[in-house]
Amino acid sequence: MHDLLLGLADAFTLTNLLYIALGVLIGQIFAAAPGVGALMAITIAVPFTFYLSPVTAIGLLVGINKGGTLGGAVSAILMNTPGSPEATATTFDGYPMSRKGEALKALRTAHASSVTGDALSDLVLFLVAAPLALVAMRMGPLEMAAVVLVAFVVVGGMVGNSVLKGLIAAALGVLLSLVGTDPETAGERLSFGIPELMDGLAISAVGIGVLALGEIFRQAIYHQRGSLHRLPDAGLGNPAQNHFGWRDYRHIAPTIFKSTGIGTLIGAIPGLGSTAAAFLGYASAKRSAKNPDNFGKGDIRGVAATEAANSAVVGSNFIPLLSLGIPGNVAAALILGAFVIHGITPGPQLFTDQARLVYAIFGAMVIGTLCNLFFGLFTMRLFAKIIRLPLQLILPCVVLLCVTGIIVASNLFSAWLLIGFAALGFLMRMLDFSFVTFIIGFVLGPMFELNVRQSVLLADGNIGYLLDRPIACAFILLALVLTWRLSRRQAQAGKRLAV
Amino acid sequence: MLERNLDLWAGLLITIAGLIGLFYLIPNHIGAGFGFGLSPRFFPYLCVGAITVLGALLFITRLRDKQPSTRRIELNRRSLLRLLLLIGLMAVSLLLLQLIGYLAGAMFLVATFMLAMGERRLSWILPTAVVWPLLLWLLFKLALGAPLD
Repeated sequence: MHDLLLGLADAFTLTNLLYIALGVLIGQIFAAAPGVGALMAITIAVPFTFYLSPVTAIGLLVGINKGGTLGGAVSAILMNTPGSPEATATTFDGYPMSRKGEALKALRTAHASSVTGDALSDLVLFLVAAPLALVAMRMGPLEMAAVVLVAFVVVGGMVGNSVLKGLIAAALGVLLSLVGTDPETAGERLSFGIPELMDGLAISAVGIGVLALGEIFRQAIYHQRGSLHRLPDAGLGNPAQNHFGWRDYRHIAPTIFKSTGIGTLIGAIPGLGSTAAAFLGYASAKRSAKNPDNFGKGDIRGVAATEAANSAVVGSNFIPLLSLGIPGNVAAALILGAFVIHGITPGPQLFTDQARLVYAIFGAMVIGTLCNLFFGLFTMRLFAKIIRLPLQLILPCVVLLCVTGIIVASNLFSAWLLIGFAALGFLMRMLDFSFVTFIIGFVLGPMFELNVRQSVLLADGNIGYLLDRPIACAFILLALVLTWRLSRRQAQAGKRLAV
Repeated sequence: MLERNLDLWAGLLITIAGLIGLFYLIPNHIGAGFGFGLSPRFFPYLCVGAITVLGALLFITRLRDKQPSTRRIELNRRSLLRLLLLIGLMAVSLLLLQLIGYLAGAMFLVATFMLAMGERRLSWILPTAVVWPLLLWLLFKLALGAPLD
């Protein structure tokens, strides 16, 4: 109780409030602009958090993540162009609502559903993370290594179209995390005598290069001016038609709660992410509706289902991150990177060693949700203007922001590394190698190595050690079975596509 | 190019890169350790070994695919040339940044990226390329005192 109060006191300071509010606004703006996305905002923000205290830094990133869940819906509803992938299903009913003159109502529905989904998912996180961490604390290095292995297989198999490619990406991520010095002997590892590489590759350089610049390169390469054939902008509509009140909220509440459940469950499983949650939430709402034919023609429940589901992923993604140290998606992986930058190791020990910090983060999440609720009431009209800015104006400015961020947080050498990682990110996207798995591999690499090393030393060449650890055996078996099943499923899907 | 052909090339190149890693990079660029405990080469060998095996598996599975995917991936000479152009623009910008200063490199970066993305209106390019770098410079260099060059 003492830690809880101290943690909440740490969170509810004016500085944190301002940074979290700034994060929410940044997340909403970046997610509203098609082709940019909140993920890019988190990636770029990571190096800027170097100068902040851990709670403020994590609060800022959490704020961006939360703001991003709402912003993506704006362009989906007004322009039929999702600002972020998870808002794709929002276009199904959001844009038809706009065409009927109910754009503002659709935006308000997205806002209410998103904030409800997010808040309930946070509540689940607060209730579940600590008990799960208690269970995780009983696990030794072999079990933790096996859990990471399962995470690689699940993320690699779910995100891309090939388990093999996913595992290659994960192994490459782990390999690049080894650059620097050996943790035991302090000998050089793949640093080629370059002093700047002795400390390893900075997460900000790898993240910004692969995630942000890789995506910008893809858009710059395939985007020609005027090539975005957007559907006509529907406008915000007549205010009289756009009233959204308690009656509307009560009408969509069952859909919101059901979709929140789906989103929370999906978010707690590494690899699936908010896009899958949004589609599943939408499909579930349509299936259970008495009049499913209305879906796709501007049904308010379609917008509510999608937005509640994709926002519910944000909180529950922190369940594996905080209790096991395993990020559920790229945003969580980047936040894990920020934890590491500030000398914090997420995982079961966090709840016993730094309980005050955990509660401060929970407090920051509550502030983020409240900011999202508050700002959403006023910012929707502003975003409706921002999304009209052309990509050829936005993207070059974002590139400069990326380079500046790296120089400020690291050095000019890391800015040179950006070029290589940007090319790698572009090629991974084109060749369908999961960059999500790559980043998770890079972030989890040191933890994976430490646990494997400890396991090998503890086993001392005795295979019987493995057999004495049934939980680890079960996880390794699970990884093998999942690899086999996912490969088979993808092979069958490939055959169907070929036919 | 067909997805299957791209996967074949990717599998082959990854396997070759893996073999170079196993037989050249690791032995020459990672020390062997002090003879006790685990060698610093242990985990890199594990990772590169996994990459090599998985790359070979990717090559073999795509080669043996009896009903390969007919999906086309738009990775051709033109897109690779545009990639090289963007890499070149970034490299020149960083060089300018290093040799002349932040503002010169930053303005060049924004202006050339706008041009590369098809923007031709000078009335858009010039203000953006001047104002945005200046704003960032004022914020980081003057207000926050962060080193930018």
